[in-house]
Amino acid sequence: MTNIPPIINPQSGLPPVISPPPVATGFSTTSPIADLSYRTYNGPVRKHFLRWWIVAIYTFRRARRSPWFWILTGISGISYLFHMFAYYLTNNLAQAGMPTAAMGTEGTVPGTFFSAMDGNLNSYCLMGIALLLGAGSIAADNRANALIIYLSRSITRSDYLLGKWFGQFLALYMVATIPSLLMFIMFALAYTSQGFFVHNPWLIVHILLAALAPAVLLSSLVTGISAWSKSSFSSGAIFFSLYFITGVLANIIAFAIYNHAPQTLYLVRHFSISGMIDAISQRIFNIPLSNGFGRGGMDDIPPILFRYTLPPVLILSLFSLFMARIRIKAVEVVSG
Amino acid sequence: MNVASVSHLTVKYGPRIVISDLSLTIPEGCVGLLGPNGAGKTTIIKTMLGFVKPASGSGELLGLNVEKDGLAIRQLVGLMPEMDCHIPGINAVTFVAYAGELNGIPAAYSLSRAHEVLEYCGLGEARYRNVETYSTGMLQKIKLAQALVHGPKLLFLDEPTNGLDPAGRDEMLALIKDISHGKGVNVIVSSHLLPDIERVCDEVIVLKDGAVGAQGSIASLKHLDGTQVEVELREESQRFVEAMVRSGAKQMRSNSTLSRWQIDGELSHVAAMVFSAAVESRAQVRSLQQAERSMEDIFMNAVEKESAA
Repeated sequence: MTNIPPIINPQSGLPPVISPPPVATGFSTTSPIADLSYRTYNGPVRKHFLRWWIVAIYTFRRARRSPWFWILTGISGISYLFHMFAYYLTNNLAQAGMPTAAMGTEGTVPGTFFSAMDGNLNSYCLMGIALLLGAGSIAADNRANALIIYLSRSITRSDYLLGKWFGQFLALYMVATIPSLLMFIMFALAYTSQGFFVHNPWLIVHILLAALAPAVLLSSLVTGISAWSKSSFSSGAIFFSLYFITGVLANIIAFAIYNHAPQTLYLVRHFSISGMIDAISQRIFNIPLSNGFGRGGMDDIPPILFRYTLPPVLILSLFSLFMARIRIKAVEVVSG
Repeated sequence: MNVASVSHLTVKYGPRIVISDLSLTIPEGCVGLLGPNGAGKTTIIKTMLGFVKPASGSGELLGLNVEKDGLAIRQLVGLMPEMDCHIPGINAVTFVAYAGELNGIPAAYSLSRAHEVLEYCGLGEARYRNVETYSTGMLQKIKLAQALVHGPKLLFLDEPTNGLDPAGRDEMLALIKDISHGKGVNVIVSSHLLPDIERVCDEVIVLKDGAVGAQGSIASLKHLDGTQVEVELREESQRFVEAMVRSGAKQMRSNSTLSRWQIDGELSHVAAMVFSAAVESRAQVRSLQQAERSMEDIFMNAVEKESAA
């Protein structure tokens, strides 16, 4: 016979007191973590100096997890394969005594690197990666109120911004440089006997410098736009529009003034996001300008000087980051 | 020892003054910040964490200057914000571990600590799920977990039971009680829910329009001068009232069959007086207990006093 507990306590004359089960305050046999009591943390703590790096690494890791990041990186790699093949053909034709002038910049090693790094396909891939990583980087945090989580820790607004920016910059810079460096190694292995290092002693430095322009400008712009939005879609749409509209406008204006002021034409044509990146790269690799309208005859004009291209890029990048810094706040304070 | 203090603090949102010349000290232990909506509870927390710059005045938190030592303060403090907030696109373990890393905990330690804290907060296996799929109760728990991960000395909990069902509320309050008693963590709970504050806090500060309406331990604020008892009769009886008044008792309040009486003397004497009045008036006493002020009384007194002032 089972023992049924008494309904009334015979001593006090009251019903028995049934205590509720304890909540997370002791030892558990069902949890994989045996001791569930709260203990304070007494382990090591890193100094504040590199807190931004944690945000950067986290941003970069998120990029790595996206399949689209790898798809765009792969497409970007195809552009390098194509240009390597084009150079191989040109070089073989030249060795066979065939005319190679029609190949334009592809006929030279710096020209091949410039075309691979700043050709349309690679530029669009870099823009796509910037869009993918950057559009939601701060906008999604704004939407999820994540800024209060970040800024209630011992990091500053600048740490947060620098981390977000650097994570995107790192991803873009790696996508821009790693295939170029692989191509450099292939060229070195294939053409050292033809004086590859003698003719191009600074090429590796030029590659590393040329990859900076798209990485800096695109990551700064998209970070600035993202900080002012609560939706990844809208910040992405603004960045995408800005990229294309400035390109189209610059070309329309340049076409309108064509034949009137050739020097101005070149400047105007490059007064767009993609144009500025192009112009800096052209200058680094010292590639002669092409008029781009298919009429030929202008390939002897030297590239645009840095003093016309670097300041706008730097100003635009810093302005974007400055605007983002203004917008990054732990809490919204509604005045009035 | 005080964990926090502010002196002549004035906070403005644009032209609007939210807190005006507020001075208060917050002692160790579990302290409740009570007040109606818009009283300035959250603003005080924001100011102490450096999110809002005060127009004038100064503050100290754990011996550090609020304006100058923001980073050092935030290293020692955990915040569970009122609003829904999370880092998007990741699971709870990654979120809490990342939060720990942001406070300087090395990655391996932070991951282990995240598992411990999430289990402690009762998230169990749900910790591997994306935070965006969480219910309101789970979101509250993860907000608490991220605030605890780095082992803060002071925890700010802003409306911790918001949106929770009764069971979830019980769990959350049990967690807060456990953290705040005997674990070396000071807790400041901001809420407008009086029963929650009464259940977990040792001390309360009642705010009204950015000023302190009342402050003290819950026991001292509830204490009433003299001996007051609450008597419940089976039926309303005017003869009982008359008998009590004749015995020298003073009626403080009456609500149908329930009445509160102030009587000079020891509790045993008071009980004897009530029962003899009941016998005399042939009234049946259903309950007799020593009266104390309720949290509602304390709150309403503080709020009305300020309004009158």
